[in-house]
Amino acid sequence: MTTFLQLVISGLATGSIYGLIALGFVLIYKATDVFNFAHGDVMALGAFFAFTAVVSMGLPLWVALPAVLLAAALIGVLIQGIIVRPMLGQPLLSIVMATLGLSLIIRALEGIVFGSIPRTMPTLFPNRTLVFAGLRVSTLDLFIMAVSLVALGLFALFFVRSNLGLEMRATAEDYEAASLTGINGNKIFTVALALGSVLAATGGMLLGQVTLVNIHMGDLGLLAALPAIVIGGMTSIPGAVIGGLLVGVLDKLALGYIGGGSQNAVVYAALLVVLMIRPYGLFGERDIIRV
Amino acid sequence: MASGNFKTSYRAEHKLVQSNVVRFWLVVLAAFLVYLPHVLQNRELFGVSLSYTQMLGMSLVQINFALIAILGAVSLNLLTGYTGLISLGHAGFFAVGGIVGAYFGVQLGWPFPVVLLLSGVVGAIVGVIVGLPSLRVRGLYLLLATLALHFIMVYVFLRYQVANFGVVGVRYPQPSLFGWPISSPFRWYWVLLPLVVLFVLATKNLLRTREGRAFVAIRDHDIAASATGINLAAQKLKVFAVSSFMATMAGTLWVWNLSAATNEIFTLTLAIEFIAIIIIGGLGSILGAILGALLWQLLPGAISALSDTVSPTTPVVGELFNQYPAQLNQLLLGVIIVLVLVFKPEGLNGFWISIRNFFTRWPYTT
Repeated sequence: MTTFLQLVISGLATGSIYGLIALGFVLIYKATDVFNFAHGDVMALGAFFAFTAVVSMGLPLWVALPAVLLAAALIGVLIQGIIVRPMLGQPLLSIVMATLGLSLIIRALEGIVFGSIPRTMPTLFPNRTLVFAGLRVSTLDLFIMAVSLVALGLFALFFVRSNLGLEMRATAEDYEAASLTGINGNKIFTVALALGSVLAATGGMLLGQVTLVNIHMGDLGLLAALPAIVIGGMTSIPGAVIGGLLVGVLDKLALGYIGGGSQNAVVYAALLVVLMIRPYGLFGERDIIRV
Repeated sequence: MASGNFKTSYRAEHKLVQSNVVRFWLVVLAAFLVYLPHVLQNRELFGVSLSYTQMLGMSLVQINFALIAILGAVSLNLLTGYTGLISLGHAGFFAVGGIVGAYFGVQLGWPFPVVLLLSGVVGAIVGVIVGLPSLRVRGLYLLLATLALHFIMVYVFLRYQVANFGVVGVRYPQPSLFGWPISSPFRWYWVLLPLVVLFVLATKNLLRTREGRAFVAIRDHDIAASATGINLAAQKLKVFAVSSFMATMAGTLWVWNLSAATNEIFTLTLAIEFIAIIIIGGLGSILGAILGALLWQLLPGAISALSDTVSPTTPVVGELFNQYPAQLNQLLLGVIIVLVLVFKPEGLNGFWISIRNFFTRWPYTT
């Protein structure tokens, strides 16, 4: 039982990061209908930017952090201009493949600019181990969870309270009707890509705290985000977060009980089960097209 | 020049080789394919010797890999390009091919042709199972379902490998065909080429049958297809079976050609590469799959060959070619994918048709 709880706790910590990444993914998908397979690489870019800003350039945290987030937002805007905009209305496979092509490009550039050696990020949070009733909890995990929660909360507030958030929800609901009421669809797409990329980069920076920063981080982020959004329901925002937490926990349970190498198989088996039983996910809307 | 369809009998319509011009070019192609190993091995073309760079870094080993990639790409194009079922499962099928090859070929020591055939049969059965989600979901959801099955198949390979061969991976012995050892790239070429020709012809023929036309109908409009009496479920499972028969066989050929395999070679990237190949080549086109596979396999060699000629002191390009050939290759492929998708969605096959039309219609435009 202790082992189980221990695994669940550490799973929740990584799961909250996955939730952030998945949230960015859902945000982009909801607004633009583009399933962005380069999302994981944008996440990795966030980690690389953070490493460059904090370690290579030695910037203080209060300068580095906004700079990284701004850079991520710019990347999102670039993606919108280069990939999303020209590909609107194309068949699904073409869009998926275009984002996969983009992912190749980002990875190649990362390899050229940052090199392929894994880097260790300095821990920005205190890393001590607390013991509660036989359970070991690292303060790093707690901080990561706290930061993720704050980021999610801010995002939810933006989505529910701000005008822009309202416009985004309207566009996601019905693009044409939203355009009729005077919402600039192009602007919404840009904002969605920028915000989604900022969320991904935040996830990347947090993930950089618990793993080495390297070019394979992109895969890690993407492969965690995909099951998270499917399990949560493709278009549901709370679903993405809960899906992310579930993926984190499942991942750790598989590692603990079945052994290394089984994580992806277990997480994706769960995805398959959800797809077969409830294709709209645990929280999604029932508007799946029948075969 | 053919300016219309002038068939006067069903027999003429059915002919595989439609005209003498086509027959002539097929003979030229066959002569080229027979002569190709000589060129690649001796680095000479009709007595003129060629340097490594002039050959664009091509070698018979790469051509063999390209032939295997063609098998995989043609099978995926049958599934995705012709039937409209998107699949990320092809690396998984290669892993199944690895397991079948290891179990029957290495552990039981059965002859190679039998193993090859068995891998196709086992692959077809696995393919039907992998195809089951396609009865319930489609599009993006099918893509994710096949992605899930990819991880499950690769995990099965990992467990099988660790249980029977340890973490170092499976070692495949040198195969032989009826006592004729396939000991060199040259011999592999002559094993792979007939197989590729056979399967390309089989696919072409399949597409002309009732089944093949049903596949295309399902891609274009599944509800309309079922209204014309096509059994969607049966046809989808059939196409999965045929496609994975070929893919798994290609997987077995691949691992035996590599002579060793661990779970780490069946990456998601491999599965994505197959989709990239058919996108670059052109969806719903056999020629496209072949061209895409050739481009994909030969580009790395070309880049490394070119990097020998680019001086390291050339600004920007020199450093790229000399220090980051792998990244440059990745970058080029990514750029090609994006450019093809944005500007020429029909892919290389579309280019080929444009070029052909230019010559057949010259001096008229379009």
